Amino acid sequence: MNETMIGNALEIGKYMLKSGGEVSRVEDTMSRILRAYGFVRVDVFTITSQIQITAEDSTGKIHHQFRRVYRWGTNLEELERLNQISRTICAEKPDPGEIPAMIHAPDSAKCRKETKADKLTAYAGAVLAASGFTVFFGGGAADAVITAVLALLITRLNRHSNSSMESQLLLYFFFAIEAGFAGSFLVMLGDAAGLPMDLDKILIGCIMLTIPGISITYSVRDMLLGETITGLLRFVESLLIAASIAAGYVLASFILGGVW
Amino acid sequence: MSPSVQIASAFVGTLGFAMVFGAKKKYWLLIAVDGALSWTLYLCLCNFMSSFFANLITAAFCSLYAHIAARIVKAPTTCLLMPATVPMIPGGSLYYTMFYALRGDMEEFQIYLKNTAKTIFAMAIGFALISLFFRIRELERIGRD
Repeated sequence: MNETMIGNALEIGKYMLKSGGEVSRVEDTMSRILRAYGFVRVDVFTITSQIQITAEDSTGKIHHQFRRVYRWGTNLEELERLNQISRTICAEKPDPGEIPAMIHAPDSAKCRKETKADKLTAYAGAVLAASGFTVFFGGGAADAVITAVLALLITRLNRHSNSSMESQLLLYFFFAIEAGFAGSFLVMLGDAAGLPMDLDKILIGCIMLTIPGISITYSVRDMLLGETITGLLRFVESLLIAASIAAGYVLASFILGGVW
Repeated sequence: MSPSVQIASAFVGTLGFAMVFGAKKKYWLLIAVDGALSWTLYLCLCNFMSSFFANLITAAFCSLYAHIAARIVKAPTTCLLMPATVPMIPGGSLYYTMFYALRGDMEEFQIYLKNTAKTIFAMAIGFALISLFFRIRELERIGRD
């Protein structure tokens, strides 16, 4: 029963990491849960790709388990749901056998059927975000419209390639090439129609959607707060992603013969 | 680019990211206001100090707003903070750093690298200060009970 409980805590931690939770929050949550179930000593070590745990129960028996965590993405609603579950678990201490059903509830990110509204939110969000930043960086109305088209394209690619492509870096590289080509093409069309546009401003709006700017800033914050390994991992990962995005656009511009 | 257009577009962009990151609908406005206010503060501060300190203070403000709002609406802080930081993060300059590195334009590369590193560090310090403040308060509260 204690083994099951450790498994449950790890499972919650894993899904928190997968939906973009901070390492310190994950460690904290897991310790709290296990202490609520009478473990006298809990040591959790988490980095973004792995969680390990050693816990001593009230009889003095020591348990170890660990989980490997693959790929993550930001899903704030899921993170909030898991946070709520862990609070409920600590407060009500349900039977350990019931907890997996709570984690994989019908409204969890994994089990939930995507509704039309979810889809609309994802696309509308990408359009607002990308076009917003095109204007933010000095683009005009025509630039914002083209950015919106590219944002729809990127979101579509992103949603349909999640399972099929193993390497994240390659994925970002291809997004960048495709967005680079499509952007150049649309700008050329615009030019031909007598509507001058600024490709640079259009692309920067799209780039904001995929560039790991938040992750790199947070990784440095983590290092400053003492989570050095976690910070370093995410820092390097962010640099590589940024490099593959840039490589994609450079390649697209190179093939198109220095349009910009 | 007029400041009002920039602030308005920061609002729209932040709102977009709140949607992309799957924040709950009831927080969208809170998050977008945080993003727009932070950018307003940044533009004001830039008149008085270097961009490093302006970034640091803005990041601290943005984070403080999110921490307080999170306590009021009872949500995890990250859920409110993450999308709101987007206008300030050096996404564009991070991209240009890599872009010029790959093109072999070392002069531009160095300029962007310096800028990106400065912004990242300034913001990270601002965020770290506020989370440290709240963490210490939390520890004190637990200690007292």
